[in-house]
Amino acid sequence: MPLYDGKKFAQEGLLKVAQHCAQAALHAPQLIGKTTVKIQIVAGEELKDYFRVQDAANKLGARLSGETYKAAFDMGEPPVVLLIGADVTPIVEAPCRAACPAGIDVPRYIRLIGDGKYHQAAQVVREKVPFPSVCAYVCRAPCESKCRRGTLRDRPIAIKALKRFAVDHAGIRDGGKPSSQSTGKRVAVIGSGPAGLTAAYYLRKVCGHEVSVFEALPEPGGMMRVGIPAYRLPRDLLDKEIQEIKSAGVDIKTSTRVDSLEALFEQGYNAVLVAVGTHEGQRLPIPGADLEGVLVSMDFLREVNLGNKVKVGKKVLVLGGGDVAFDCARSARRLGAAEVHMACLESKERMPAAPEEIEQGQREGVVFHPSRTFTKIVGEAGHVTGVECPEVESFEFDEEGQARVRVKKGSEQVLAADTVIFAVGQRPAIPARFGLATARGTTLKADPETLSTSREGVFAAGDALVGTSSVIGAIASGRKAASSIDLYLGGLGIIDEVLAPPEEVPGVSLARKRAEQSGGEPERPRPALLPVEQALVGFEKVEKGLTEEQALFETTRCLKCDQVGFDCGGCGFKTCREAVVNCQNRINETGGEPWGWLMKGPSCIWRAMELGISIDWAAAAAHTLNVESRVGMIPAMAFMRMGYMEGCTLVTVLPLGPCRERWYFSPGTGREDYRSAEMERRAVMLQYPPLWMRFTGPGRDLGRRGINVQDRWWDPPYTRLEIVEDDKWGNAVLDRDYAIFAAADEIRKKKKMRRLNLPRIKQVLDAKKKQP
Amino acid sequence: MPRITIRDWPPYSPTDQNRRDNTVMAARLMMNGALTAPNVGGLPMTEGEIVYGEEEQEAIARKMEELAYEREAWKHIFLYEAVMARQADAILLLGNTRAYSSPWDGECGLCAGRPDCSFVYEHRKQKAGIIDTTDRRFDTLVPGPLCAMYTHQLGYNLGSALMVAVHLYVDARPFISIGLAAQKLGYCRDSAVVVGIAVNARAKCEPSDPAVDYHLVNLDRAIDAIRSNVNQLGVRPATGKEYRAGDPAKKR
Repeated sequence: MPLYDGKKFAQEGLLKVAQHCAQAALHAPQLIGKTTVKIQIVAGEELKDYFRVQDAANKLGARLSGETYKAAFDMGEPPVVLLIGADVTPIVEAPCRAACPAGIDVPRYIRLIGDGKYHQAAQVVREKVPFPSVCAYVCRAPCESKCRRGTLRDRPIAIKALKRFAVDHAGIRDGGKPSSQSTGKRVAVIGSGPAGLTAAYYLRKVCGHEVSVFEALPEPGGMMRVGIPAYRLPRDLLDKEIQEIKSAGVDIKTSTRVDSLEALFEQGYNAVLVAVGTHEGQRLPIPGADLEGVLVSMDFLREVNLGNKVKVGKKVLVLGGGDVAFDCARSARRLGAAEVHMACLESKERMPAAPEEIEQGQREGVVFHPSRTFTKIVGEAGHVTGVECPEVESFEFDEEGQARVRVKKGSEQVLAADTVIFAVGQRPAIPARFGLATARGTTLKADPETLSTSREGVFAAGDALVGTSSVIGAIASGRKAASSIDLYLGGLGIIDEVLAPPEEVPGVSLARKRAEQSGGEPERPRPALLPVEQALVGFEKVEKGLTEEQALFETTRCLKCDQVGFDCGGCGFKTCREAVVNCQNRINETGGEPWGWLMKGPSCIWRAMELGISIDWAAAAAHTLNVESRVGMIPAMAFMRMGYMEGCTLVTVLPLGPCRERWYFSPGTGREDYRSAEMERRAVMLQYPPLWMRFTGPGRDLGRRGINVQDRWWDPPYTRLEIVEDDKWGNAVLDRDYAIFAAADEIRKKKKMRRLNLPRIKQVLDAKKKQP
Repeated sequence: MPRITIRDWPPYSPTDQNRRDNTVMAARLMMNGALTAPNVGGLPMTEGEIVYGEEEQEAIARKMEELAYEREAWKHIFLYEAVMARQADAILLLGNTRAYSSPWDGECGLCAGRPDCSFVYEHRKQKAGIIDTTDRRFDTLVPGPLCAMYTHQLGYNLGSALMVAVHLYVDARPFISIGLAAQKLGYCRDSAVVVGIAVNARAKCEPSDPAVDYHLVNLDRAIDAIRSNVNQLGVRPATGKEYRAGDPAKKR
């Protein structure tokens, strides 16, 4: 039988106990079923970070409980600390918001539209994206596919159409204002597409860095300019939004190709973001691919969208079934092609293009040939005359992303065409001289968390990183890159903006009033479209927006998944909506950090209770396994500030192992090893009277309310309150709180995590201080 | 004179009664479990009551049904769960006595106000920090704002009670609706927030997997419906002749 190191063996056992407790917490009975319990385990050396924060707080008079953790750690028996928490605010994560890559607060802007506050609704969108109009016109709307109204009842809310309504009716636009601060750091952004410009905007406006954007094309906008046709995205809107980014202080250098990263660093740039997009269309290696009349999607669209003269034949065949293929097909119709056909591998139901693209393409006379592959392009006298397209029996993509196609025997058919456009995918054109590592030889390779590439100081974002995705995906990637670059340059990595004013709750919303007046069940509206004949003569926008009536009605269909929805009044607000609005306003005010000493309110009482059940089950599981544990809140606060349990507003610690405070207070329990620690603690307590004694009893509250504290009828034995010093004491508490934030931020910095907004926190805490 | 009530459905048998009595024992132990749960600040603040008996449970269920029609958001929950309150073998009610009257004073920041409990104090009549609990008028389901930390505490109590139920192999599930209705009927009267746990010891625990429109389609009503429609279930009555002589099932 091997000999085990007892302490090590016990540690391994504690980790297993922690897993068992976590299981119990996750499978505890639910009360409302709207609380997602999160678990993290901290053990071994990682606890040292907590001790640093504890030290910082204790120096200012706090007594952060969990001293036993330190004593046990020093003895080689560190407890395993289980963190259990959840978001218990009245704001429940709505599936639409969770599905948005940029995290736009969809339910909030729908609510504001319903109240008739269109400008504020647009500002909510703008808080997360610098291109609200672009987003409103061309977003793939992943939010709609997750809308609970669609998954549970009938059809999803027309979120994209509502967003467009808000930005179209927002009135005066709040242009980007240059940041008043300047860090003296310089960032070069290569590419002025959605990812590059998003990153540039936040790096300049919020973080205060000097940003230059290098664009190889004569106009900025990247794929928004040269990929998306004007009938989907009107150019005046794009121009306005790019102008706002310029107004924020971003310098955009067009017709400037960057060939060398060294040159940029030599010019004094401290960081570089490569966001070159995927502008290189692919031409399939099949016979005849180089015949005259065979075009490639991106080259074709670029020429069309830059206003250059492009000639297409009378019969155009587009190979591909995605959005780009539709852009090519519908543009070709507008350029005078009498017939436009599309052939793609997928069946019509599985075509990757957006459903409205397919519908509108069909409306404009595009003929589909689904489930076709392309084996040969045929021609005469060097010019294309058609494409051999056998029918597909089945196909799949291998690990390399290559299609493995099985064709039906004898199904070969030549589809006649005098112009063929390949729209079978795009890839980034990254100069080899950049010397950056790539994945599969095409897209850039980068750390998924920080987006840093293989080269120090060089980051990547957008399609160049993940391949062709969507505008909203690129914007989200640009946001992430901006945060990482700011952290890299010594900033806090915080790019959040609060643009919408604090929300107010009207008695009855405008939408509800109108709905009651008109009666009837609202249905998902269909935006009006430009008549086909009119649409095909130019590049005028095809889809018209919703009318005010349609938009207001549509907002009443929202199921308000972001609220608990019980309207019980337990939190202090009569409706869950009021509670949600209060919570959102508060998050905006504090930057998401807790106001209080411990946790982040406001809370839904039922969600807080539901989390309590889970925590209790975890503690009970430890108890069943005869392992010492003690539910604690104060250390949890420190862990939260150190970046653990991201997204939780109420967290508790469940230390497993030698952690119970009673060992301190009950010497002689067989753990005399702790006696020295106890002596030390007492010495500290003499120096700094125990903080928590001051927190009990009603007297403290009296002091705050200015009652004559000389009238000490509540004096001992009931409490030992130095109420007279309340102001002074309150300020000391705020200093101590700041010390905890600062120490926790150091840990975040060390771990390269999202930093705390210390200046903002200081501002909030200082505002609470009473002046002597 | 006490009320004498007679109903011929549902029948109560001695074995049924024995099972229910045993469930009350389990509920008592669950209450003890709730008292030993981890405790915020080490202060006593748990209140519990066991509701047991056809009349008492019926009263709670009816109160729930009454509340169901007060607001659209409550309708679904209260109607479904009223059936469960009626069907439970016993109901354990747990409440927190401090959430309304004496907030934690822990600077926690968990509620909607400033982190000094002023949100709770300012919504109450109070003198010298002592809240006047005699004014019991409120127009919401729960007399908020409550101390969020103490409502969290009630979660621990519920968790421990439910854990005891697990160890005793009785089915138990917490219900907000049962607690709120019971509270309005005067149970756990010192508590501002009460949750009910329906405790059952049956082979089939309906509250775990209720049917759609459960207030209409539940086991009791289904059985009752079958009783009234038994002649329409394809069972041919032996009419016309005396059944011993002319039972059509007998082949002659």
